[in-house]
Amino acid sequence: MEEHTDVTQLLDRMRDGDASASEAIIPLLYTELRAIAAHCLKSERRGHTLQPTALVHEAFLKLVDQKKAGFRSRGHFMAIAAMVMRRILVSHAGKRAAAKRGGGAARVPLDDELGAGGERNIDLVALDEALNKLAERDARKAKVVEQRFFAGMEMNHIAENLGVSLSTVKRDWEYARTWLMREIECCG
Amino acid sequence: MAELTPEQHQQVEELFEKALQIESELRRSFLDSSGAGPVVRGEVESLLSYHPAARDNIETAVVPSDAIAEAVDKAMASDFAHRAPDPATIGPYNIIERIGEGGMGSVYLAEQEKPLRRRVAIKLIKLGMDTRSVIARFEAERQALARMSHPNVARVFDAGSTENGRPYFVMEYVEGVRITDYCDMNRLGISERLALFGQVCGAIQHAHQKGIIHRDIKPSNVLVCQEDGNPIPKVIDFGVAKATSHRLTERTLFTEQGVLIGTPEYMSPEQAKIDDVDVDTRSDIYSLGVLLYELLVGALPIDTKALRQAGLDELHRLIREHDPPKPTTRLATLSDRAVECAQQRGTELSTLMRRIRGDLDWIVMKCLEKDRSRRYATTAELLGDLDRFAHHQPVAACPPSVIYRARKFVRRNRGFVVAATIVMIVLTAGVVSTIIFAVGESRQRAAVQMQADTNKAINEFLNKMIASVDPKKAKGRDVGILRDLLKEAAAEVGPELSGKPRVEASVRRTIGLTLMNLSLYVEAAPHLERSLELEQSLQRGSRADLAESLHLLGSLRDYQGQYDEGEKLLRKAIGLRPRNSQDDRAKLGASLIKLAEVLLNEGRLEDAKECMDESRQIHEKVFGQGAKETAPILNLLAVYHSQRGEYEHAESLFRKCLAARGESLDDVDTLVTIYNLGISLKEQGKYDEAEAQYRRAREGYSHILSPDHPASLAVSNALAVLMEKQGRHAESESLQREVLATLRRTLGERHPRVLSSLNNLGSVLFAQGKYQESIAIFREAVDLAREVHGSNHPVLAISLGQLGFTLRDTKDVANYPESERLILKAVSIFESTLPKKHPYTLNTLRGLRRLYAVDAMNDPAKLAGVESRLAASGPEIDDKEP
Repeated sequence: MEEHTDVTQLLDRMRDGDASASEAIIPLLYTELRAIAAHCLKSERRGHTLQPTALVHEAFLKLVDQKKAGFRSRGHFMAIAAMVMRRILVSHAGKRAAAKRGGGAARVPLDDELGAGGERNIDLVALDEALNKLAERDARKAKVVEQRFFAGMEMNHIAENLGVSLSTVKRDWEYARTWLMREIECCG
Repeated sequence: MAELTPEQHQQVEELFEKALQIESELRRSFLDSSGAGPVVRGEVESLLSYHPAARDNIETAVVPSDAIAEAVDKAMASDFAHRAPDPATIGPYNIIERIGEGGMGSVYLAEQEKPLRRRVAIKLIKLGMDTRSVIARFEAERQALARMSHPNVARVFDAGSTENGRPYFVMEYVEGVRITDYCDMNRLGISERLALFGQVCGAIQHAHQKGIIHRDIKPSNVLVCQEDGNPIPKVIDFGVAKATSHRLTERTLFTEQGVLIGTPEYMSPEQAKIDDVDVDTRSDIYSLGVLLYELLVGALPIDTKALRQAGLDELHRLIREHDPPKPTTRLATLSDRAVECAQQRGTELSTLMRRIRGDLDWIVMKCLEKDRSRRYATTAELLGDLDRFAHHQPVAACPPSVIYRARKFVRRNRGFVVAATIVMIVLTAGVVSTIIFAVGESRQRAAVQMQADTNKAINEFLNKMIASVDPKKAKGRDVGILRDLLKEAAAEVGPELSGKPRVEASVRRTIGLTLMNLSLYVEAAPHLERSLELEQSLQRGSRADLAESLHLLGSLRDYQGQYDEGEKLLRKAIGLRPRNSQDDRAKLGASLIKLAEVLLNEGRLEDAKECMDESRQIHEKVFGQGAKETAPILNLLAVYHSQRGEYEHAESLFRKCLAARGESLDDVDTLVTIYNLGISLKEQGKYDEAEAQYRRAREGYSHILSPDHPASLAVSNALAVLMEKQGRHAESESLQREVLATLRRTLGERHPRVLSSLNNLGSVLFAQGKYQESIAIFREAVDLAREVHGSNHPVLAISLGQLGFTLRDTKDVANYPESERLILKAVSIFESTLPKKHPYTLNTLRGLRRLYAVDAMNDPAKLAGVESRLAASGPEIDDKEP
């Protein structure tokens, strides 16, 4: 199927060092994410909590031919998806926060909606800012967080992507998320 | 908090990591003994106190699904904001209101002042098409369009482009509704519908006589309006499809809603070919047939749902190869909707069926022939048959003969016909013989044995046949044929075998496996599910067969991404696999490999490793170390080690795998392993050795596929990238040129892969300081990007930026103004198409800053402007130009 081969081939081209390929994937990814999200809205899944990471995973399955794509392709795809998902969620959270500040009590902020599940959500705008700050000093750690948090990537895929060992990624992750937590709590 | 020095950061990280390994009560004493200074120690303690909170709160993002949908919507809206507000004027026309919205763009009601005052409809095409060629294609037909004058043809007055470069078409304004809606709303009977349809045919006939092919006949382009109390159908949009058809197929991927634009349902098979050049008046006959079909039975010949769910290739294949049912056959499958359909035609279902069955069926089917030479040659012929039908005379259309159908079948199947026919014969023969043998209670025992033998024979034969059809080569239409064939076989075999669960399970396994090998997972699922169900229901079933069904369904779940389910099934299969014979153990090993793959996909590396080790042991015990059969497991192990970044280990395993495979270069699997080996060498920095492997892989691909095959070219490209890495610019350049030339020859000048190849070549030239050549190549890239992606696309901006940077680095003052213009253009495209602060935007701005910073350009005001834009975008992370 066209979509399959398209993204699968684009990923192959990325692996071969073709920089324009990753940019070409983004619109396809948006379209697919949109379609999946719209489907969730229509179907019985409405109101249920859906992890953006699950959405990314679903998009991967839809867009990339599992049989033809190599393990690396998955990593490349997820890294792009993580970037896109970060943009989506952060800009959305930012808009909501802004709407809340300026436009009265029309909307409930993200973290209040999640009380029931026992999972607490963190302030994505603050996290984004903190991530930028972290990236200034240690871009790799910020990438680890981005790929883990926004795309739910497995540690070994992150390691593969960033060209470092698995243990380095694990160390980065523990340190970075702790550092970010403090940054959000103190300064956010 | 005081800023830490890099050394202190380093220290903090190390201590933090070590402290985490230690139970919390002991951390204090650990820090005491670490000898860390107060700043470092304070930082570590502070971090440690946040660690539990971080664990609880930062894992993966969670938000409610409706919030996500909304978020994606908003992000898309801001990222791909093609939808500008409605304009007040388009060219010389004043917009009154927007009256429609379609995949291609918006339709407006507008008013023309001069030369005469009249209302017109304006179709404003979306951004993303090459306006110049749209207008040029329209101009080519303008004369012919002007000569059209028919009461059922809506005039097309003009075409032009807006200031933003969006093409538009000015047409006669028709205040009407779609012909299908009109007929249903007014409950028109078959005769009245045929009368309206006849007028539509008249309009198309007129156009054909003037040399115009409509190319996009569908209900929304045939509007019915009232004139003097009579319904008059008017065909709109003449000339539009031709002017905009170029690249329409690719554009379907870029819709905002994730839904296909365009209306593939009405597209003729020849239009569904990728090049779409070979279209003539008979394509319109096809579309008219679809329209008539819909007018008669209220449904489309090809299931719309199936069409829209299919990928683009699959969709085109459906249109080219799927034989639609006759209208009455379709009607019979509509159940409740058929009754409603009859009501909308002011009659009973049975009456409607009688009316359409026979002549009207054949008239429609003659329009819908895949082979256009079998369609009506002209609209006049179609009108003639409709007229004969109205007067109860025999029509020219008739049902195709059996021989004709058989011939068509053979023609469609081409290369597969031999294999496919044999599969059919074997399946049928096998079924027949099992039925014969199963007759008679007394012979039941013997029959069971015979059944088992036959069964085995069928499967072995089928598998052999199917294995000969390499999925890697059986792309596109060929896969479709095989699948259709299997579907047909499955449908016919199913009911016949209902009393023979063992045979049915076995046949379904084979069919399911084949479909799975062809990556047709959705189609494979019901067969494999059924085979498992059957095996489980058997009283005295064979454990091996049950295990095989579990194994296959588990494998399928892996490909479908349902890893949990896949793991469960495969573990069951492994538990059930007999371990007596060598064959048994080999199968057990295969299940273990599959399970390892599932676990790898889940990211459970260590669990996967365990399975792989066990499988390897079994394989080596059964087949001996270094045997051919051990190759797959060795390959998988090597992949596992590559994933862990252990390229040295991966390398040695890839080598073992190759040794086991015998290193013959005429097997695709071997070539993939060679290429993988090359990658593992490259990652270790062993460039020379990597190159040797790449070259071998390329030689192999060239040999068994062709030097021009995409796989060969992909390896060549990897090779060129490798050379570039080694600083062998000249060689890299010549190879990139070769790749480019081949791509152009095989894919055409305008293919997106040509674009990336141009960019690669441009960069190689640039790296060698060959600025002039590099500039020339990037200019080509810019032109192509504009043509392929439109004038406001990030890919175009990348090429513009590259060209701008190259011009800048020529250090030739004369080039600076153009460089500035290009970079600014790139920035503005990035800004309008990408989210704010996107790295591409920032990097391009930095490139601009570098331009402003050169002495000759020294323009403090502009420099300061860029600086402040960059500063507003936050800290700088990466200073690479895109």
